[in-house]
Amino acid sequence: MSTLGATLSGPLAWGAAIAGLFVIAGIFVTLYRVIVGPTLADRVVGLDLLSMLLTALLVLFALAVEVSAYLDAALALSLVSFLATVAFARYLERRQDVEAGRQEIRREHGDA
Amino acid sequence: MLEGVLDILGAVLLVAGGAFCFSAAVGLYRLPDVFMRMHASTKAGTLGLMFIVIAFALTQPALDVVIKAILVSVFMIITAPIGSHLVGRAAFRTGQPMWHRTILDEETRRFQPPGGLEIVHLGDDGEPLPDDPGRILAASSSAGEAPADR
Repeated sequence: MSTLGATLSGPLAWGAAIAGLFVIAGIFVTLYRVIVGPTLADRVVGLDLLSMLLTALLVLFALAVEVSAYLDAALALSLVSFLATVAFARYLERRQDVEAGRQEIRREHGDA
Repeated sequence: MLEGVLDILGAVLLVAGGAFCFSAAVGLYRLPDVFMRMHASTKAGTLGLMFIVIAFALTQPALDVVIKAILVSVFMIITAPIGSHLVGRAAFRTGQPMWHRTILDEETRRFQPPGGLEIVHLGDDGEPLPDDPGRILAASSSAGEAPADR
């Protein structure tokens, strides 16, 4: 059995292929939420899950093609995606403070 | 013999991990508001990734690869709850709309979102409810004096 030029055979290959299909389908479903998501927070949550699914796909790919370098990529992605989520969460909170500050400045100028 | 058993076990774990990843994505698609979506994506996603990583670690002979794979799942287990907690806190503080059946009285009463925001509950059609319990609560509490620290 050969998937994407994979070298595995036997039950593990079938398992990897089915899991890969599941994860790729999940990535597309998550992309819907990232694109459509009614609020910014929905998109942030969607990006968080997207990075997690991509990490899972990288581990699967490392298993399927037996190249351990993909595992390094998965390790780096699992670390960096956390930073991205933290940055997005900070942005979500701070954006409102900035907006409130702007409105206050506008009000003061209107009074003066 | 052991090789074959580990292969079958690994295949089962891979399929289970893929199914959990997909269910996380379906939860993100189906559930009505940010907080429930986060609940689906974080927990099921982490579990699916963990299953896949365990399957990888069981079926690889080389030790360095196995250690790297376990590190991936350990980092995810450490960072996923922290990240989702931060996003959840940010979403709550910025007053993201909640599902209309959300029961939130205690928290809203105790914690007023900064800047005097009101919390809006959405109906099934995505429009704010006319008799919104969150809005009534915010209006009655902002009728008093303003919070001291703002």
